[in-house]
Amino acid sequence: MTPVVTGATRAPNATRLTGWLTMRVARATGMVRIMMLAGFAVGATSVNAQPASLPAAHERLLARADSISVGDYCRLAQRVLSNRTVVTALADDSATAKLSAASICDPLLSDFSLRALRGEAPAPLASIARVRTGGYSAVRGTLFDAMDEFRAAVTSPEARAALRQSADNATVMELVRVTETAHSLLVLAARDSALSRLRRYERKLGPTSARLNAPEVVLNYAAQRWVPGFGPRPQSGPSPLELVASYVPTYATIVDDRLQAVSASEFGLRWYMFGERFGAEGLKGLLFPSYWSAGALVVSDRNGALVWPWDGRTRTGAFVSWGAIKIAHVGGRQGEWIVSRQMQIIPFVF
Amino acid sequence: MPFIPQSLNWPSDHAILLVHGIGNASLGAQGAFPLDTLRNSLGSQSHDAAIYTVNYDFINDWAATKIDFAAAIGVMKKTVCERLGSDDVADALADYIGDVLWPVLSASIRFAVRDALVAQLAQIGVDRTEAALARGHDPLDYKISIVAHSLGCYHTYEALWAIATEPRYQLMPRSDRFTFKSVILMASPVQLIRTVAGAIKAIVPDVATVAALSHELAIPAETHGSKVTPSTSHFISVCGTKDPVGGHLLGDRLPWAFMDLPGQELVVDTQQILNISSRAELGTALRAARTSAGPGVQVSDPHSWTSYIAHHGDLLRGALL
Repeated sequence: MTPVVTGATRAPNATRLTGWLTMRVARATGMVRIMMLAGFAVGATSVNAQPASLPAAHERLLARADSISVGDYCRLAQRVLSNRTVVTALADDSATAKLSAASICDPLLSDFSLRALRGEAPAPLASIARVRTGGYSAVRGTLFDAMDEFRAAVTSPEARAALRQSADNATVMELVRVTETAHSLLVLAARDSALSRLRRYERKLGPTSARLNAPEVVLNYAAQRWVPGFGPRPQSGPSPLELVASYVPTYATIVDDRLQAVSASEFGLRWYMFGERFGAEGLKGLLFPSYWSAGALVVSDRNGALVWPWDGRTRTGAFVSWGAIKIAHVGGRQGEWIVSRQMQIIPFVF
Repeated sequence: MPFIPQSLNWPSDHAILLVHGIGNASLGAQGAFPLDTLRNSLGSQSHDAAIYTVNYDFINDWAATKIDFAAAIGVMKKTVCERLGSDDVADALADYIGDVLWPVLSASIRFAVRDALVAQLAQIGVDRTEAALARGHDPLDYKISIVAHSLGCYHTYEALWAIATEPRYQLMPRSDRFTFKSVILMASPVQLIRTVAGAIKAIVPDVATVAALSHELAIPAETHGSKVTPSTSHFISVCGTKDPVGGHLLGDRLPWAFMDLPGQELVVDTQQILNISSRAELGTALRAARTSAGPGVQVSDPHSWTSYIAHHGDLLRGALL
């Protein structure tokens, strides 16, 4: 049920490391001036998403889930299964319903509210004491599975008709209230998983992501198809990985107190951070961007914009970026620090 | 701004989800949905229905700026052109049809749209439960229907198959009792996509996750043991005789583009009022419609969602209310 959020667990370390590196390098070489010149303001593009309305239904559901205990569900299931008309109508499903009811009637969890069972509310103290010897976390997932199976059985057209015919209205409505509340909690969790994946797709494809050039489109298409770990999956969402292979004519450096443009070719990996606080726009995006990247780069010994990196004597080095801010070091007789901002001057080209 | 599914209080015991497509509702704004036309078609009972709309245009925008599909779309259009005949009009038709083909080229876009639809359907399910319980009713007596148009039909078809076969979405027809009263697909390109994407299957990523390609077209259903439970008891296809996206060219049915699911209810709009009698006129009408997308009624556009809804009031009242 819970999607894998790889970026969320890695992000804090990445934040500290990259932030520390960036500041150390900038201080050591006086690059802060260049950063200011390069202009790191991040464009704020909004997404035309669906207009929101407050989920009052959500609040009502949670309040109800707080008021229904596992014990309530158990007693109701037992009462329904003591009704011969219903059991007859269940036919082949009666065995499943009885097994499910047996699972639901776990005495160790009877005090738990449905909401607590989902882990969205504190567990009752008395239960905690017992559950610690009873395997609470392993059991609660299967308990919801049992509730789902029980609901599927007693809501078949035949079972519903039999129940309405043979039980009083209060019992029927109580069964509906309890089974639907438990099921809605699962639907809500499925909805939240879908929304979580959607947020990650937005992080990787949306306005705060890095634009790709044509070779990168082809490379990433190939990687997603044939390299494990790069492709999206229906239940886990997008991969945080993206290949970098770009020509960047917008690096800058200072030579003899003069700002000079540098052109480079970059090859590396980009990692999207799916944690909630990342993917910010504007100034906050400098601290909490959508991605970081690292790799190797090739630079000509001639500085200048739109210089072919393999022109003349080539130099190699390494780059690292934190969001749009990139810093690199290239070798040579005198090592050189260069900085840039992630941008695309000509869409899908560079 | 993250996607937030719409949550509504149900005025009565039924709800309708509108899923937009291209052409007549490609602006992505709330106003792009033909809500007024739908309410007029439904008549006095229209206000009893909770009408949801799901907008996935923002996901299309991600693809447009992040990924360049031009080359692959060109291959797909060429495939369409070969089947339509080689003239200028075929190019115009291919351009028009090409708008509904590109999502199969990106698994990320397909999965993202699917997740948006799943989230919206889950929210509708929660809203239904709350509305019914508040009135002392059984939520399973409350009905949900879908009306989709054009590319929205494809995404709906894919999403319905996904929820019918994947337990983790909690929206299966039998196991979760999540079924629809009616699913109405207007000008569905599902068969068109199946044919054209099938011809270039080698470059379609994750074919196994594309329901339209991975098995025979069929009404989405859950199989439990030997029992098959369909997602809906009324799977209705509405198309027009002049609408190439729906599988017709100047009155002739195009078998390679016409969706013909076993068990579907078919309604064919003769579209004589459009006064289109030649390929050139059709090409002109489609070119004009393609460049003037919006909610207004475009009488010359054989693919107009507004026109489909306006012309089928009786069908909609019977199927949705």
